[in-house]
Amino acid sequence: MTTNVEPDTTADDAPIEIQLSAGAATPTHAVAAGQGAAAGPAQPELGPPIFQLRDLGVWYGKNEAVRGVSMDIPKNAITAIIGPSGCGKSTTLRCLNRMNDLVPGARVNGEILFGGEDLLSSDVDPVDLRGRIGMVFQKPSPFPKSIKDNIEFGMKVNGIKPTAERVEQALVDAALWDEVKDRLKDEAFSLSGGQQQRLCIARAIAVEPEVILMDEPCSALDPIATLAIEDLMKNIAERFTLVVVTHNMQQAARISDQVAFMTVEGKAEGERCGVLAEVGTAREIFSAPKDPRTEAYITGRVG
Amino acid sequence: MTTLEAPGTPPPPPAAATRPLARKRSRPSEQLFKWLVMGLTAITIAMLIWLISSVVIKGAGSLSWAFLADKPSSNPDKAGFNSALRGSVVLMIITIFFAWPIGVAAALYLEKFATQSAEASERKVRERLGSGVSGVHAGWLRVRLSWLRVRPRVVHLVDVNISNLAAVPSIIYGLLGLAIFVGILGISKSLLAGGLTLAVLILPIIIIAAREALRAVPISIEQGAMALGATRWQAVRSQVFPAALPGILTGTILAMSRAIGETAPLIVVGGIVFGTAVPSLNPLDAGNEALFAMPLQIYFWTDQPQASFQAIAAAGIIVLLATLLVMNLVAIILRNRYSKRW
Amino acid sequence: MTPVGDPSGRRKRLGGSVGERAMLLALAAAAIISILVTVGIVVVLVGEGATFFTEVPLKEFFTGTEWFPVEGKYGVLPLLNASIVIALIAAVVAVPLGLGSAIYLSEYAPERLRRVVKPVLEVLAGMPTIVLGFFALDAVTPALQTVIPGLGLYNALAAGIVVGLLITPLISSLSEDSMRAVPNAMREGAFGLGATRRVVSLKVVVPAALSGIVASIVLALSRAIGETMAVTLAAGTVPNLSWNPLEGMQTITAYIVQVSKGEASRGSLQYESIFAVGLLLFVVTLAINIIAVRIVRKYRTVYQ
Ligand SMILES: Nc1ncnc2c1ncn2[C@@H]1O[C@H](COP(=O)(O)OP(=O)(O)O)[C@@H](O)[C@H]1O
Ligand SMILES: [Mg+2]
Repeated sequence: MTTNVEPDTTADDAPIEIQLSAGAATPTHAVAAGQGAAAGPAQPELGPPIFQLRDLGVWYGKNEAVRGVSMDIPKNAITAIIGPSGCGKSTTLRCLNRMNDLVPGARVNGEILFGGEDLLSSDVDPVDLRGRIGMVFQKPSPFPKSIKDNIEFGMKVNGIKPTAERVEQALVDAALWDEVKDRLKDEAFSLSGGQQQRLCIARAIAVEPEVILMDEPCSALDPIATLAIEDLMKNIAERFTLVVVTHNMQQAARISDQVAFMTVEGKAEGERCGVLAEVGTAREIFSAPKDPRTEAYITGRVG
Repeated sequence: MTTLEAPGTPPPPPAAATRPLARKRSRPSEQLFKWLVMGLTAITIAMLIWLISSVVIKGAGSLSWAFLADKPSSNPDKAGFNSALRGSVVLMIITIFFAWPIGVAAALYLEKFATQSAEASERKVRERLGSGVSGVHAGWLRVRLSWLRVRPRVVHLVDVNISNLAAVPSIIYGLLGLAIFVGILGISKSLLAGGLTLAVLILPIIIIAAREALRAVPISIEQGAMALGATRWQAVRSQVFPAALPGILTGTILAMSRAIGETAPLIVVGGIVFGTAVPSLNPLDAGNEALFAMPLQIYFWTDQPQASFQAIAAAGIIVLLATLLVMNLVAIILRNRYSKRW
Repeated sequence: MTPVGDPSGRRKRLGGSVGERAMLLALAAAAIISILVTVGIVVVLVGEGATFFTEVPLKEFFTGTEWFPVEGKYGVLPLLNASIVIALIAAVVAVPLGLGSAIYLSEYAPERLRRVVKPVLEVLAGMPTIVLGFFALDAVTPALQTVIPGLGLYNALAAGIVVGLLITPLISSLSEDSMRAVPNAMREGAFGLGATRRVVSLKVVVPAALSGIVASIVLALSRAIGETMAVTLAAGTVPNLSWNPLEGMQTITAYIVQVSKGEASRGSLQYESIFAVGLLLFVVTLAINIIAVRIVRKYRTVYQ
């Protein structure tokens, strides 16, 4: 296969298995998606959108990283963003809570409506916004403080009183409580990688945001830690809107309600730019992709 | 292209957020903090500007070719900087003559030859070459010079020693020079004694800079040469050292710019003697020449009560700072011109 | 990997091994010189110092409150005290300036500005100390005298201020390095929780870089204590056991300069006294440096 865009799949991500696991995905969502697909148009069962992206584009200096992304992100569901590396998944995700404001030279155009309001508008307060739209990153990044202080940090900056109950609740939600309840004063660095990532999720949950963005939250973790985090994502999806970037298609199939597939357009160096190829329910994308590029990607044939 | 909604279906109404988006608000503590750190930076720079401008304002009037060409005098209007300039030139020649070869050699040894691991990597390359001849040779080296290979722990101790030396107050080096060069070796209080003292002073700086420059050369260059059959020494001499040379020279110039401004160790070694001699520029005469140097002359003038001496002290400082500026510019150009991105 | 070149050719090239052995020996000898320097310093200071302490008891040296060599009074406290007072004044000046600059450069300044400002600050670090001494006498003290009437020409305050200027870039440069070594992921993690830049700087970056910052301050203190010319010129040459920064006082280093300037004959008690106080200075700065290295080592383990 001659490609200029490598699929981000690991060797064991056999394309056929993906379709199988999509078919046998989580009982709750997949069944709902199946019924929805049988009953009529695909969209309604996803619920009303909390984010509406309209022609979103991002430039890093003179390089256009993402162009013309338009999609809706349903509330209280899990949306996965998949695609080859470098196609602008992280860039798109980071627009949703204005993290790109912090990158010197980054420019964002288009609209992102959040509850009907454009959050990219220059008079929106990005600090306040990030308190409502939390983020978890690829590499676990606990602060060099105790486990408890890590949780309380976000609460304090958002004016939430850091009570013991709230700390406990966040750790319970992040499925970490049983492992750390006796060592809350320990350094966060003493935790394992998977535990650190769950701590980062707990830290985000503790702020009580409306949305949690996750950028490849499992890519630095082993399979068991990954499963633990997938379980916890499914558990908290009823309370939060989750937008998850992943390069693991099986993971997208296992956890997501909606899938957005991004890819790179333009071959020459300098004109390569990320675009949204297709968005639909997990079932649509994995069993009946409309865009040939999506199909090529999920079946492992790219180019 | 983008499948948003099936055609004909009305777009779903957006879900409500819990509350409207907050508008930008001013956070006084944020602003205050930003201004605070910016202000502290500005104050530091302002102090530097104040320093330089006060020196320039005071000394510019006394700067002239005559000032650079005249010898010292007890009359501030006639006193010149020539002896000091000559003294500093000779001091730098002596300092570099002793410090550079020793410093670079020590750096080469510590970085490239001292540890077992260096030997091990040499052996590995040879084993991969599968050459019996080289194996015998390497074995011979191991037997005869094996004591030159030390454990990494020993190298680490030498490292600690060198970085501690670099942090020893310069006046202590003056005491060392006074006791060893003047006291034990019996060199008179001369340019030679001063130059040797400064050489010892900048030795650790040169070693550290040279090691950094050697370390910046990727190991692949050396291994590439060794894979072609060169010995470690040949690889280092023909490939690594030339590649590291610009970095070593940059570090050397910076070390010299430290030495040329040093006052305290020279005072300790040579005292402050008022003299009107004009030292020879020949470094071989340095053992007989009284200790003159730009910073010593500046100190002598600054220490005089008359205001007119303050003005020529300032003029001397301008010359010293200009010398430093030139040295640093050369170092920067050298670094930019020859630094390769590996 | 396949062998390159024929064995005989290699044998030829390896033939120069006698020269190589000689070179290796020479290189090793050079490295040994660096150790000899340390040995030399210790032997000289301890040797000459020991002669001094046969005549001046250690107890008198360390507890005596008067340093008056002409009368044979060798109580080192006034000198030590002056060194400490000036180093502390320097720290009071340099810690806010250095830390503020470090935070500004690492967390706030645009990259372009940072690339200009950082070398400018480092100019201060490379400034010959004689220049700072001149600046103290010629500009700082007169300026202070307009604010503090009756301030003498020689005072610890002006000396401390210029020494502070000298060590500010040391603190800012090392602190900034350790702040920039804090992974960006940690900053983003905090921003992603809704933290402001000030909170990220003060509550995340500074604590994460704390060991490096503390080490930089400790190293700067050691530099301040060993500083000579600025304090000799600005604080004067009169031993004075006082904590009042408005008074003149003589530091350890200034005393060594004062004796060296004149003609203290070799073997005299005065001559030996400069080695004795030099030994004290060496031990104090070495101890401070070792503390700094310990702190840095602790900081390295944090991110492993
Ligand atoms: N901070 C940045 N500065 C400049 N270019 C960037 C930056 N972040 C990402 N890019 C560029 O934007 C494109 C998309 O990157 P990214 O969003 O990280 O892709 P993905 O997450 O899908 O792998 C890439 O070409 C990348 O080089
Ligand atoms: Mg990414």
